[in-house]
Amino acid sequence: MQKQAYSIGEYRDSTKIKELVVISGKGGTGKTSLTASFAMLADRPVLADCDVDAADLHLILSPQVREQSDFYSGHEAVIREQDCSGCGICQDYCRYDAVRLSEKDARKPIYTIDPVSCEGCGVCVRFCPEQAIDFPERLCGEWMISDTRCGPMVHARLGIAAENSGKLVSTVRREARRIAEEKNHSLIIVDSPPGIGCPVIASITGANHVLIVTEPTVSGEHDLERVLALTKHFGIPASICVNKWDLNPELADRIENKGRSAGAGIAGRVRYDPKITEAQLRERAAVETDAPCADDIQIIWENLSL
Amino acid sequence: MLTMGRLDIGVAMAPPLIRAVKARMQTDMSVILDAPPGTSCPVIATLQGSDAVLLVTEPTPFGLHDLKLAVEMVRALALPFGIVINRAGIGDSRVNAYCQQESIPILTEIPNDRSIAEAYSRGELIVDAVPECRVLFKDLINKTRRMFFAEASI
Repeated sequence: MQKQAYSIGEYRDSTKIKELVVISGKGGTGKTSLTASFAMLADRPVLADCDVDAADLHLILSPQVREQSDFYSGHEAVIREQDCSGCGICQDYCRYDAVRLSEKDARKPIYTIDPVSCEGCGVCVRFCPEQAIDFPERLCGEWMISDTRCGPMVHARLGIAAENSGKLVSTVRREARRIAEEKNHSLIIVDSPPGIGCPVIASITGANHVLIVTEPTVSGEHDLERVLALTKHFGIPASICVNKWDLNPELADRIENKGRSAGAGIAGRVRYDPKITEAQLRERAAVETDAPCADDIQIIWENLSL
Repeated sequence: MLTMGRLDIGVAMAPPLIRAVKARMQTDMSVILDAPPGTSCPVIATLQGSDAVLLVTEPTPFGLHDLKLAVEMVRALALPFGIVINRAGIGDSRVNAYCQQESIPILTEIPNDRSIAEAYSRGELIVDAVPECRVLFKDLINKTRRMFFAEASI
């Protein structure tokens, strides 16, 4: 059985490899754009796109896929129609309303299981008097190892409406670390999903440093507090970067002060710069273009001193 | 009336909390749910049982890529949906072309405007801060009512 997760201590101490995770409380703060630029500025990094729900880093780094693997997680119940007696016990027991009465013909009702609603608990499998329910492993997505112009990259695609993104995130990080160890890379840069839930926790546990990308908005301020509480909870050193700071300089100050008093470092500020979208359209990181914000990102990278 | 849930720090599983929030919705009035981003369990938990979905996107490569995933998701859930393009004018026309090709209705386009971003940064409602947005949103809600709920305009 493959190991799916690392304990924090083991993960941090196992090697001298540093791991920077870029996170944010809400989506759309510029995490991926910054990560892509860091990938260009770093010396031989390994890249891990852990935003497995909506991975976007590949749109800038144009990876050439070398290896592709299916990601299985949990199980799903599937009723074999020919063996089903139509008793409906599975429907009575299902807590997730996943068993549907799809049609009633002259002889018996036909039950099916809605794969989106099925949580894979297996209760119907146990209680089916005809043993007519299969319980195969569930294909939840795939993950890839690729080459990019700035180094190897591990990325993934979670199946639509699939569960267990945290486990897929752990798989992506584990593979990135394996590559770093085998090929003597000293830095892993991780693009995390937004929020504070399960895939984010899976992205940050045991990392050396977290960079929190936020915006000078009231919602950004609120979400930052939540993210800071999360990094503190897991004991991970954190820095803050306020993106589009000049939209509201006063709030940018306030956010940085909040960060300082929570013990976070201030990595720097990035100006509001429509050129970052132009870079994206050309599949380039901001630091590969003449976008004015490239200077800001360069300073942040130096401040992180990884 | 606002119902909100807040996950404790360090707790992984959002869907049970989302279901608890939804169980407290008052169903004798119109309910608007603000969904988390992405296409995995918390989003599915939010969308299940709803009557219509608005997908908000940006006309950029990231926006288009994530929009396609979201469209796959709402189609898998068999929910009626339409698109709102935010920050229209910032990128290119590929989102519009995709919607046309897939016969997906674009319900409104909110222009890319620094004054909207600044108003939002101060926590102001953009329909109050930017008069053009009031017209856009009124139009959006009317289109939504007509298209998905066969209701008259307000």
